[in-house]
Amino acid sequence: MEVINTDLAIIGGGTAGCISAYEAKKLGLSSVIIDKAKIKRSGCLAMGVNAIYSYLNNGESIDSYVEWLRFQGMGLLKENLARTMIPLSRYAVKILEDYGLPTTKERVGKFGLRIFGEHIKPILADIAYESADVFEKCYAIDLAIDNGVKGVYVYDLKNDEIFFVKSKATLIASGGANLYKPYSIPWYPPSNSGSGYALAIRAGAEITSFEIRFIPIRIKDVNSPIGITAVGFNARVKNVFGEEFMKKWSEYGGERAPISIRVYAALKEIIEGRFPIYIDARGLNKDQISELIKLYLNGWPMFLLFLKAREIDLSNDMLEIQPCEPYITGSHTIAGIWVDENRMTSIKYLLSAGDSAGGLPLKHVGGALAEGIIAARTASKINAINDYEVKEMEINNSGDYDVGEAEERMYFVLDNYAGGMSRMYLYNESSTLYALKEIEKLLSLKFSGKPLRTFELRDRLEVARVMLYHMIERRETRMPPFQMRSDYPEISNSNYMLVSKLSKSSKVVRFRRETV
Amino acid sequence: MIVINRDICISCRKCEEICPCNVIRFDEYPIIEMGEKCWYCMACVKECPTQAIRIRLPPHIADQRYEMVAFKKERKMVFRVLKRGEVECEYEVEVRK
Repeated sequence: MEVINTDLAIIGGGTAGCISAYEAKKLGLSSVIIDKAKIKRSGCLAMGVNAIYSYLNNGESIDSYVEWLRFQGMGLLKENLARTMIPLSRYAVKILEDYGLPTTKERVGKFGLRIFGEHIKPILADIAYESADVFEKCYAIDLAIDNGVKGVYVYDLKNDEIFFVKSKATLIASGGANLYKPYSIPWYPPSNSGSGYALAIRAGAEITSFEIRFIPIRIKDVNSPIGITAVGFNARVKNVFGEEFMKKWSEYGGERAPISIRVYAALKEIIEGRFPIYIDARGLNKDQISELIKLYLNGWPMFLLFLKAREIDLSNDMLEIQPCEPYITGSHTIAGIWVDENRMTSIKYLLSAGDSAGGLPLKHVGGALAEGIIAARTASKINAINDYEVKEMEINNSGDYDVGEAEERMYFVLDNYAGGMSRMYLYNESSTLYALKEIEKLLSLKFSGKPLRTFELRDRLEVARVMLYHMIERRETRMPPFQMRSDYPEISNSNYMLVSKLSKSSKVVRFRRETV
Repeated sequence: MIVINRDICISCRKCEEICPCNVIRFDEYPIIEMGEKCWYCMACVKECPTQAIRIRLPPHIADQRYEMVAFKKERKMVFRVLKRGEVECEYEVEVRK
């Protein structure tokens, strides 16, 4: 087996991974990036993005950021992660600007910066190619564990062979997980199988808050973001009777309520029959419409095709909105791999950043960039001798159960019994116990199919299993509809984060940590 | 769903390479292998050197006669919506300083 030696092995060539390679090079470290696609358009920024959120604007402070985040996250966050992240956002954005990213000085909301980001991923790829050895169309299949993480076994999807990356430090930056069947164009890329979570789970690393899923409200069917219209053009959300329904939620802050409450409010309107619900951006003039469309083309180009194909006239028609299927991602909620302020996981030499890392809600692009930089700085302080002996490894993808059929079953079970869209995100003890039994049954099968699809499904199932243990263990409703139970419907304000890890006998051990 | 015009496809395989979801397979021409894993991100459309790829929304959400193409022109990306092949509208956005 071929062995590649490096200081820092980076799993995932997305936002956090590419910028981490830049910082590593600056600090004199060699690095390797492993990505299952081409980094020029891989990951959740493939389409682009029109604002960098989690950006420290002039006039704001670290304290004002922490205060805002604590409110938005309904008290669930690790403050040290926010305090170490936000000061680095400006440094990170400057790097992208130097490589050609067009930005403006325009502020979006409290902690956002308007950019022209259609090309953000090709720009990040330029940075990565200059900074690291990049291995594309390669899937990280397992971590090497021997008193800490000593490297990563990688499957080359083009040549169907396994190689080993031996590293002093290993960074998981492979993003979140797409576990529920999308009803239309998915919010998060279908390629995000949660492989980094699965690597960490199998390694016995601590995982946090998988029960807090993220459910965004989007333009119904095309699934475009609504923030562009709501924040940039001050548009209001309304129910079928034209009522601005966020006014009913004034005790939570009305229009400015925490993100999950805004989703919950919309969901209530739908469940109680006051649908369709809309975002009302009527009255925009021709120039404003053109500006709005261009903002969408920077981050969700299907919006323009949708307007035309559905004959929607933005000056006269409201846009229908709806919450979509749930996701597990550290980009918006605190779900992810447990990390400390240096982005070190609970396992020696294993780091995590970006959507893979948990504990910091509403991290967005600015947070992923900053965390990639922090992780590289931590890696530069590791100086261990790596005498790991590489083991031979074989892949068996000639089982007797079709990988596509098993995936269909997983989607159906999670949707019906683990708080999917078809159950309006609700679950209870009995339903999740049934889902867990079915997911564990699927995990015991041997799949047949292309290596990529069998790896992805295995990873999704392992992530789903841990998510279900978390969902069962939090016996309260803490953050509806991201986490809400029909058997414990009262909204609680408990002050703990749920943490789990795999025991030596592969049991999922769960415990609580106070939120600090 | 992407649609490939074989008359102008030059079989360069760039679409197969760029697809972030590894949905495109190649056999003389590009073939969509797992359409349900497509993200509608337009990476393949933007990468195609001959504009042989067009994108349509999923059939349950919109009129299939409408399609979109996108291509890079200097430091801008041009987006064009077509109806039955005729240009409906066009926008340009700055993508690189």
